[in-house]
Amino acid sequence: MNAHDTLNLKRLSHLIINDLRLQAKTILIAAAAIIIFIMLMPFRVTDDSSAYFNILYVGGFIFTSVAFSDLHNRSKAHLFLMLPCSNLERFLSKWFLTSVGFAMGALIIYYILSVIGVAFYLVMFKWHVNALNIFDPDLWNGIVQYIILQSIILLGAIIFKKQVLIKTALVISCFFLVLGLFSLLIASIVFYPDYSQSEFSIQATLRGGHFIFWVMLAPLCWYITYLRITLYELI
Amino acid sequence: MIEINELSFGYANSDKLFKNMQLAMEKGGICGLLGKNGSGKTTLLKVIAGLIFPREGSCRVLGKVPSRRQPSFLEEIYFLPEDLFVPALTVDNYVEFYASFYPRFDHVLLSSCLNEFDLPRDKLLTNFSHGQKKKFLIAFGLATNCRLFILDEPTNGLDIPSKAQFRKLLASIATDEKLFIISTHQVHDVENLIDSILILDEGKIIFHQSLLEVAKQLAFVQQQTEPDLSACFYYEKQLSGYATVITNSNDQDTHVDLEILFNAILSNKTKMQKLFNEVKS
Repeated sequence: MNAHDTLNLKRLSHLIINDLRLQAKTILIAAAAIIIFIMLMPFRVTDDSSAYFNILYVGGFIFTSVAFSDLHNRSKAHLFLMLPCSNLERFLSKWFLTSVGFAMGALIIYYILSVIGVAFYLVMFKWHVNALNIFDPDLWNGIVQYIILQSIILLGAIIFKKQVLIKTALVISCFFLVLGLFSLLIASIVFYPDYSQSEFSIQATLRGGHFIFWVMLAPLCWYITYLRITLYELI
Repeated sequence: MIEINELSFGYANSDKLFKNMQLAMEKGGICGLLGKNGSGKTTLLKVIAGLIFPREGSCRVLGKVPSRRQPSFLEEIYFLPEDLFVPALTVDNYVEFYASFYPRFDHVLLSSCLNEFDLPRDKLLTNFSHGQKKKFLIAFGLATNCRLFILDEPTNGLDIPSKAQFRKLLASIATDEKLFIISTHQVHDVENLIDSILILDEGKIIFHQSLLEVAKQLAFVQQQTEPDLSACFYYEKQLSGYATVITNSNDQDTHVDLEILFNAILSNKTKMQKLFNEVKS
């Protein structure tokens, strides 16, 4: 398999631009909705990033949930699957638009609004407020966390054809419920009958779980999503 | 160009549509894929295009495995599905969006196809009629200059002049390097166009011959009196008499009626296969 058949950056950028242009109307409507939402809300769109994260998570998850709607539609899927590009490029274009692309797009809009907000407060009320600090490490940590959590929704979007968010949330809840019960069962067996030593072990396990969740989860979800694209049949 | 070996496929594990299918197709020519409803025509086309995968056996097209959907494979194959989809773009936008994915895309050919089909370039594709959408996708497909064209019911929904234009365009761009596979129920639409015929029945290829060979072995004659079935392969009562399929023992030059041929093969599978196998051996 040569590079032409795996990843061609020119083709990938073309695919991303096509996707963006095809969804231009939806994106503009969503952007207008965000602006109106921000203007109507009582919080200050300046240095406060909480509204940005609300938009990022709610909007981003909804946007991600429909990422593969073309693939789940029999007639649209022909165009999606027969277009001369690799499965990796198909995956990367969807991933980029719904994760980094969405986060950056929303951040740019939010930042511009916050700058307008600074000018507005200054002119109208003579208040000196700061614009959103785009160099705040917490902001970027939050974006990274969004990209990690969004990978679960992206996986759900390719597995489920309808009600992606509800079904994905249900599966995650069931998974953690089973995991919790299983951990409880294991802990009660391992530490029986003396539970005094259990605290340290549970904390260590939780740290391990934390590491697995934030470091391993996203690559695993991305890989499975990519595999699902490669194995997708138009039946 | 297409090599299918021991292919098995079924939508359900228990019910196999194709079982140990063998098929070899060379480049060049236009092949008509015929079969009754549910015989597996579209499924076979999807396997060739890599849209569904063999459960057993192998399928290689242009030396590649279609299920891998490699760009170098997809650049060489154009699939017109029966179930059409066009995005909300104008003709020009569609071309701008998708033509660059095909390295040999011919803009001049596209313009001439669009003119032939009388399609406006500035109208949204979603506002086109079904026939216009199909004509546009055919025009775009021809302009891609792919080596393999898979057309599933291309003449369905086309008006009478458009069917003639379709035949004219296809005939004009068919070369020895390209293979067209046309699946259709409208056999008369492609009668003068195709040069080989592939008939599927209940998931099996029961007939795969060039029309030249068919014309050499069979004669399609009109008889006024009801023929004796033991003396012919098939006959069908028509207004002007009986359309009859007989052995072409006198080297007659008769027109191959695809519909009659199809019915003759379906009603006389073994006899027909025996005749053509004897010729081969």
